[in-house]
Amino acid sequence: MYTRVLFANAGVRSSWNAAQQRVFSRGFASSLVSQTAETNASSDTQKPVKKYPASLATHGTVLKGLNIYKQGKDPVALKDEEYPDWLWTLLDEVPFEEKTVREQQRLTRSKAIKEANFMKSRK
Amino acid sequence: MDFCKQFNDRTKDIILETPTPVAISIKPDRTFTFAVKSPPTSWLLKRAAGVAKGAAQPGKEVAGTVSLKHIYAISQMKAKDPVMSHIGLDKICKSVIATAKSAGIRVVH
Repeated sequence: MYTRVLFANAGVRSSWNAAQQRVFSRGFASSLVSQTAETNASSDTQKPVKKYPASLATHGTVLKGLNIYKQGKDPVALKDEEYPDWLWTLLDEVPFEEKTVREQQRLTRSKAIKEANFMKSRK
Repeated sequence: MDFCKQFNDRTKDIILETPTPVAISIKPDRTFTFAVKSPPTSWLLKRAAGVAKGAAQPGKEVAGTVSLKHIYAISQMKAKDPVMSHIGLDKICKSVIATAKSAGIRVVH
């Protein structure tokens, strides 16, 4: 840890004794971060892993209409596990609190504009 | 004429009457190059959903339903386009889902 000793103006220095001298110590946050990481890892069970329903297109379903080649065949649905994990998250709706600030502002603003327009259009 | 011959050559493996977008770049000396792209996303979605037309009022009506696996298969076709070469498959899927939304086709798991 890097320790820096700061002194006040010269006139005050003489009246301080060693115990009273303020020592500002600067350390890196690494130790604190690793502590929080450990606690987060151990409490992984608190954050629920979302379960997605089984796909309606079950294994072996022919995905009709998606073949454009003369010599080809329509693709066949694979098992749910064979698709990448991110595929099932694509239909998730992000709640308002978890959106980016930019997106939140955009939504609030457009809602306010629509309400103002509605109030203006009333007779 | 020249273009038609080359185009027919390049697309001879494709089933007739498939809409096939093409991006042509023409040089000042009238020579050209072109890239054949995958069929339009909305066309593929309507075929996958088994409908002839999309919804007249998307959002309020539902014209058809499609699974995420259909979306994945469509995205795999789209990923072959030169435009999409640097875009990850997950982003292409998101794009296809957005097209489905505007066509009034509901996407389910």
